[in-house]
Amino acid sequence: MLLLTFLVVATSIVCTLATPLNTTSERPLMLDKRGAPVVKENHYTKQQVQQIKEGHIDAIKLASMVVSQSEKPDTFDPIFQHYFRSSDRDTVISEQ
Amino acid sequence: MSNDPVDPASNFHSSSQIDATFPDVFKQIVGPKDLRYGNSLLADITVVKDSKGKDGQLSCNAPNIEAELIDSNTDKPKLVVCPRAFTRGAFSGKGYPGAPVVTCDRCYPRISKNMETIGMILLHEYTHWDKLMSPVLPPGFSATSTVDYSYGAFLTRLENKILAPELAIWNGDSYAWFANEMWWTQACVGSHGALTAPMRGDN
Repeated sequence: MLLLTFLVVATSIVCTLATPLNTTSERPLMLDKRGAPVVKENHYTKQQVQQIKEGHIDAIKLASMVVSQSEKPDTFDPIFQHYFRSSDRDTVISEQ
Repeated sequence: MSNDPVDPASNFHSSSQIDATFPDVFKQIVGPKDLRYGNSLLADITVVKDSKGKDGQLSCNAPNIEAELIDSNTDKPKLVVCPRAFTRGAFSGKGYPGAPVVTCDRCYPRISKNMETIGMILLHEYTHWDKLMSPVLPPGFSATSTVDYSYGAFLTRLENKILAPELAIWNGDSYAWFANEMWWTQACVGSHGALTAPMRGDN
């Protein structure tokens, strides 16, 4: 009985370790620490759910890019510098 | 409208008031400075399939609609993503069946619908949520979040630059196109040069 229990536990451990973390070619979304909308998964196909989650990440990327550039007007490209001059920083860029 | 190269940042806003508001709107979406992965409030949005509203109509039956934020004046809004949105790609370079991979080659030479992504659509919808936007949009207007004065690159530029620049900060697509244009400019200016202004057919 002890041996049987040992074999069951050992087999379970081996199977767990042998399971790939990501069995598909999809990229991990890493949404656990993000403020992300909840998608009602049975309302959309699997691909559509993926597209919505990827889309949210892209939306945050877009917004983050604008924020990061607005906070570094001197290091940003000439396009944004046109509107965010260092001398205007205190009046244009508010602290959060 | 001229199709000469223009200063891209000037396409979707113009006044100093707008300059001051734009960064705050984006900051509000990405969240606090130490954790800019998305404002935690966004987790209160539920993405649902289309259903009949109080008027008995389906949101996605409206012409050309890609998404709609419902109950935007509540703490728990619902976001309907319509089939049209799923034909848009992702700028992370990942395409899907029926949705293109969006690349510099696809975008250039002009600002246009070719650079639309689901991310841009969602960003637009987030600006419609009162709870998220009311802290950063200035008082003195009837809305506490953005509304839709115009859709698309051409009409948004026309509205913001020519017809009613003072309304640009209240227009959801102002933010979507501003960020979108900046993204693609940064990504592609080295290899493809400056983007040119959108033309009517680019909407």
